[in-house]
Amino acid sequence: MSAITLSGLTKRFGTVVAVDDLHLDVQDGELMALLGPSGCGKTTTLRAIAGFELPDSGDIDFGDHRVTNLPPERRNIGMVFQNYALFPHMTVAQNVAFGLEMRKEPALAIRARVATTLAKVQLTGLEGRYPRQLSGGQQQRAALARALVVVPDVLLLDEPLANLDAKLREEMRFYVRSLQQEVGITTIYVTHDQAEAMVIADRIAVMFNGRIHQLAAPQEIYHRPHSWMVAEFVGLTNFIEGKVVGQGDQLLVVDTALGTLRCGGLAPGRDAKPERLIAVRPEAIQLSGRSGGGASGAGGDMPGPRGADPTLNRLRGVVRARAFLGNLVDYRVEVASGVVLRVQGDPHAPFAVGDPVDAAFQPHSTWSVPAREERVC
Amino acid sequence: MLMRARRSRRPWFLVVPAVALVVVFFVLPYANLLVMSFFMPGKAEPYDAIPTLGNYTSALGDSFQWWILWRTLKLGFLTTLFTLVVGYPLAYNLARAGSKVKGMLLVLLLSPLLVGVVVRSFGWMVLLADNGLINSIVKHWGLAPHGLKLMYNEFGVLVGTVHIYLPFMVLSLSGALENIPPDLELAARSLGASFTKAFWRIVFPLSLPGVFAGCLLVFVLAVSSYVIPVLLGGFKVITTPLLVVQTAVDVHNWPGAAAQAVILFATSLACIGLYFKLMNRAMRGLSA
Repeated sequence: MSAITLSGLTKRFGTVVAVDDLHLDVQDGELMALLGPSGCGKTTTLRAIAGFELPDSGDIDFGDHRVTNLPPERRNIGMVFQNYALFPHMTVAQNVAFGLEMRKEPALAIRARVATTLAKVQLTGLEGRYPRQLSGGQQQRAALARALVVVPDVLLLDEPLANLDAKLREEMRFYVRSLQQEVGITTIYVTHDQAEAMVIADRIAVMFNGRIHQLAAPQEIYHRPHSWMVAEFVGLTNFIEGKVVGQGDQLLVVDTALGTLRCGGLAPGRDAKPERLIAVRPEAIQLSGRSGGGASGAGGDMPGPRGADPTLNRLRGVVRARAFLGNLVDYRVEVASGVVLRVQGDPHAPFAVGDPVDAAFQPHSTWSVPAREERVC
Repeated sequence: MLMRARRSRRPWFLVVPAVALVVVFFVLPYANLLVMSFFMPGKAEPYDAIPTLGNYTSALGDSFQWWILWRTLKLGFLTTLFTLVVGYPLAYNLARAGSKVKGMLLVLLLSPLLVGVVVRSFGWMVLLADNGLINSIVKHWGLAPHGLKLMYNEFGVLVGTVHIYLPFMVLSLSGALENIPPDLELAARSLGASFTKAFWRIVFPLSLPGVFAGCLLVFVLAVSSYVIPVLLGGFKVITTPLLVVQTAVDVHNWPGAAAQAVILFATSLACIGLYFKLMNRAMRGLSA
């Protein structure tokens, strides 16, 4: 077990820069998720850590042990591949024993450790099966057992749940998390599934174009994204364009096409542009009926502060579409001509398509990010 | 049940042309050969209608013919071995190459097939002859004042067969190697196996079906080859196919030639049967 440090890691393929001057510190025993769309460099980063790709520049350290130029077999890693990469001509037990054989452990010790590791992943009794005779979930656990049995310094997981069906995938998230907690091995988990990253990781590094855009705990990433790309990639977000015109009480006042809104966010620095995107999560918006004069009796002619909560942002809109999803209802609410917000609400208080509604959201449940630059990814 | 129902509905008649072709041009001539080998050689006709086992007793009692048969099988075996050893690294790189490089390698590999066997054998003669390119260089540098005997011997024949049958081996091998995900090799490396260990424990066992097919193909081709031993062996390296042709055409003993051909066929078949048995044992883990 050891911390992982990447310093200035760079990898090019021809003219394409896959990983661009990447710095990353993974704490001892931490589970770090590398999250990003395909082609963002997360897999290349993982493969460089594994030793499958030699970086063009930069260094990789496991603890105080530099491994940059070591071949994979001398790094003491455990790796789980997206398609598991179980050896098809070997039984489950032979697959798990492989790493120990390579370490020239005595045969008796190998048998014992294979048995205890298979018990840990609940595969006892399937030792003699070949990989193709296992279900997807069993193959997955066999691959985990094979990687863990050698007690690696670092565990590298490359989209390990991507090939499982949705239900099993959800279960396996918790399973992988608890297994990692149990063995306490420093782990890097590559995924493009933001929900998976949030469930599993202590911290998430969100990557685009070979760079880390934000490195933080899941809640931080979700509620306080650094850029619109992070906000867009992690969860659903409504973006409202605007310009910062003032600030106060930890809130920013932003002029938008929908009127003046208050939102969270860091005040723009002196040299930064005032243009902002307000990110509003669909579940942060509350809808209330407007036709027939709502119970609150508010006319709500003007969006803005009113009633008990003067900072509440309030927009008038019309429900344009709705989808019942069981645990929630997904609405599309047109709040100005051409501006449609996604709102996720309580399925017990449904609005119909065409209903006029008030859409309100707390400034503290929003976050503003610098306006879009050229999108490159 | 469902499977069987679906299978029976397959349009079986689509195989009729292929079966007809095989029957007319392969099964019937072979049957004719087999029948002919049990009759007396004729003066005017290829054979007289007098049944006999004489063709076999004389062929099997002739130690020279046994020796020729042994050489034929030996050359077939060596050709297979060398194409495997030379072809495997080539096939491995072909299977692992990017699509651009792969196309180029394939063209390089297959382009010799566009030139006939005769022309390619002549090409080797230019290189290997007593006063050919290699020998003139060797003599010029004084490495071997009398030159090297590179042709009209088993070495020359082997050079020709290995070169000409190499593409068949490489294509069989690379087909099998392409089916092995590179991740398997990387998984082995991540578990502490060196490149060599990962190769022998993972890649090679999984490529055995390709090794099996390639060896079979090259062995059969090499054992039955005629043009290469004629040109590069210059009738000094007699193999069974040459002997069969000589017996039939020069001596006009068609039944004798037929018997020799049947003996070669039977021996090759026995070799292949033995080989199947060995390979089945080696691949038991793969198909279990």
